[in-house]
Amino acid sequence: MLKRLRPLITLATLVLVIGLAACGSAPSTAQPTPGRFVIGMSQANNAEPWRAAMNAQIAAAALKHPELEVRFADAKQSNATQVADVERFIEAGVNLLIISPNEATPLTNVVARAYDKGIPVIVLDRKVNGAKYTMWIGADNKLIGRRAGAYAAQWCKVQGRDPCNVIELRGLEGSTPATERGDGFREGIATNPTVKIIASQNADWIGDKAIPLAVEMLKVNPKVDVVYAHNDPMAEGAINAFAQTKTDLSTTLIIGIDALPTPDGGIKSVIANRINVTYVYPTGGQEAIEWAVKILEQQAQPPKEVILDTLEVVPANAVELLKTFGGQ
Amino acid sequence: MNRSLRVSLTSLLIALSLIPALVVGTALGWSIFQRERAQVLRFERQISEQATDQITTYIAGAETELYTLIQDPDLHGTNALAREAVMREALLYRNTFDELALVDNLGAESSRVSRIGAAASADLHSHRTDAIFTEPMRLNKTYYLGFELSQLNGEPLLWMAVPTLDVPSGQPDGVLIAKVRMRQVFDRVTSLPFGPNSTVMVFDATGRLVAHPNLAVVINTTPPIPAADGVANGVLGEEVLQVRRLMNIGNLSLVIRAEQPLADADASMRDSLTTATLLFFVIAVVAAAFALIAVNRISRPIRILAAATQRISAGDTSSQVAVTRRDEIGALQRDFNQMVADLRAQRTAIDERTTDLQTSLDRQRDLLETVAQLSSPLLPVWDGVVVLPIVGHVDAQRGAALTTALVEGVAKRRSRVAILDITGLATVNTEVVQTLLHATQAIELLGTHAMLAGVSASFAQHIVANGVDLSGLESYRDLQSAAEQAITRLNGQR
Repeated sequence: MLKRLRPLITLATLVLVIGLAACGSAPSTAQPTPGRFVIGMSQANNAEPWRAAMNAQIAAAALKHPELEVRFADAKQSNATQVADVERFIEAGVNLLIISPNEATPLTNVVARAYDKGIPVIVLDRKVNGAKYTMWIGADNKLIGRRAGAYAAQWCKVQGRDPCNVIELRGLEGSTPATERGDGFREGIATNPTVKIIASQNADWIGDKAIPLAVEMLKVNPKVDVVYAHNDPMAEGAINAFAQTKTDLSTTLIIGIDALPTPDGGIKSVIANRINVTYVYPTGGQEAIEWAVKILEQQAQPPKEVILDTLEVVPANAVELLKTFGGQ
Repeated sequence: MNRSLRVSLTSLLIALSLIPALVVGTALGWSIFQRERAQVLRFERQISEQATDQITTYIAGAETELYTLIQDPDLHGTNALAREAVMREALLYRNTFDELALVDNLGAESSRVSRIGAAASADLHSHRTDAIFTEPMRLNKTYYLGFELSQLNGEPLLWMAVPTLDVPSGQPDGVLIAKVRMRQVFDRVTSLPFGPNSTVMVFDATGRLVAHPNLAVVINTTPPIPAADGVANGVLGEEVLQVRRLMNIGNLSLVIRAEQPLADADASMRDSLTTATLLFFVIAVVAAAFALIAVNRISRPIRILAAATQRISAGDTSSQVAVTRRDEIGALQRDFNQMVADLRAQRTAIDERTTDLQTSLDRQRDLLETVAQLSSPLLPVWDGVVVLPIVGHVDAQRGAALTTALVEGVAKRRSRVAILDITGLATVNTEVVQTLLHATQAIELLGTHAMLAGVSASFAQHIVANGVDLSGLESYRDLQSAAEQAITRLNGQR
């Protein structure tokens, strides 16, 4: 009986050995050819319009450099996925890594690993911890908030509003941009003591969440002079709330932030005269590609930090800026 | 027979190699199991301690903010707008509170400001009988009422109140009620990472879930809190490995609970066990292969020897087995061959002896036949005359044969005279004489005349000495004279 089993046993051993060998085999890698550069772009979440715009700007900027090939990866708001994405890029031997991290701490190690392997790393928007990256390109939310605050202070002065009541629609409490946009605004309005924040609620960046909160605030506060929303969708939510409560919107200043060139973005809202002023929160996509070219082709030593300036979008320049940012 | 030897030996060898592997594997598996579980529980305890620290720090911070706030002289002034401005500043510049209400020593709100805006004086109400007013007044210290969920946005809010002091008397002259925004700290705490699908949650003193990563679960649920750390049913019903930790801040009691589904807590252990099982099967296969080889090395020569033995017992002594080994089995093979060779030699010797014996037996039988033929010859010497020469020893048996041959020969030839020639008779005794007498009497009855020839001196002496009566018998000295007398007698008769 055993004699008959012998081929079976041999077969089983063979299968085992092959199976174990297969486990250890390395994944295929696509090494870039010389003279050409492969850039890995790890995005935290393509579903966010601002991040989609970042990808679009990177792709558009890379088109001007035929020697560049940009590979995009979407982490879908998962740190684990983004770590895996970056590891795949390291494995594939990309020449440069651009990353827009989902969160700082969970991605610090993998970014450091890429950097230690000699891959230049450009970090966009959210930072990672430590200094193991080539450069960070981002906007200054506090600066944007300050600009918005200064605009409101000036507007109140010009309009002669005393007191000049502000209601604030904040992003997710505890998130850095919400804190910075809020603090910057408070600094900006400090120059005009008539400007007073009378209500503030967190709508977590979401326009639909902003509507009931703004409705409630409008009910409690009969006189609202300025609406400061931490992003354009929440500003749109507030505008909806004015309509719902049949409150006159014409004498109220609506301020938003982000100014995306998309069809439902802030620039369009300014053109449509719904939002009065909004501030471009630059994605850094174009700058990232420009720096990538300098690093890869000219061996340039980039600065550790590049803070991008914002642009004020008002009806006077909205149409032109929409064109500049490739919107329609 | 040899098949069962192979099977039993192979099974034994496999068992011998697998049983230790199984024992060691089980022991290792058990220790990994214990260690991994203890490790997860240790993580969970660390995490719940961190959570406790963060919540304590956050609430202590809020309390400090409130005590700082009540130091503000504007808060105690009569100007409602100034009071509201102070409270608004606290609400909208530091984001810790959702609502602040200043209550006088009778329990009536003098100002109330929330993040929505300031309440109109018509909307102010009295807290005279509420614990949030009476307790801090009575105890002259911070009082925590409990949690509520904001009706506006579902944020968990902690109701607390600190007594405001009348500076000259040092006695409370009212309270400052605050709704502390807990979402920030709860978000931080519930997302403290310690493993896949791990969850940190917070229960209030009534057992209500107030913080959970999945906000939909939080609303007004009071899942049972297990009595001890370890395996229990989780909030979502699945089996979890959990620890819970009681924390107290002032009169506020909270339970921090950290849990992880068993399936995820045991994942790395399962990986280890899978590897161990795989290794076990590899060992099993290798053991089986080696066992087969080892058993074959022993059983194969034995089977060959057994087959050879069978052939030998069937008579084939030409069987030899190949000497394939140098060990005890080799010695056995050599000795077997020697034994077979010896057996073969013995068999040959026996065969030769048998052949020899058979030959001599045949020869003897031929000889005996010749002797038999020669012992009783009946010679016809003349028409009607026969001679019976008697040579050698005559015993009873030969005597009977002689008589028979004589009687039959005489009857057959119709002889009228028979001469018994005893010239060659070796010995004479009574038996011989009796035989001769019987023979002559027998042929006389047939009408044949008997004559005795060649009577020797010793014969004659014996006859006389023994008084034998031979009166009827003609006897002659030699055969010639007997023959002449016989012929004469026949002629005379004719």
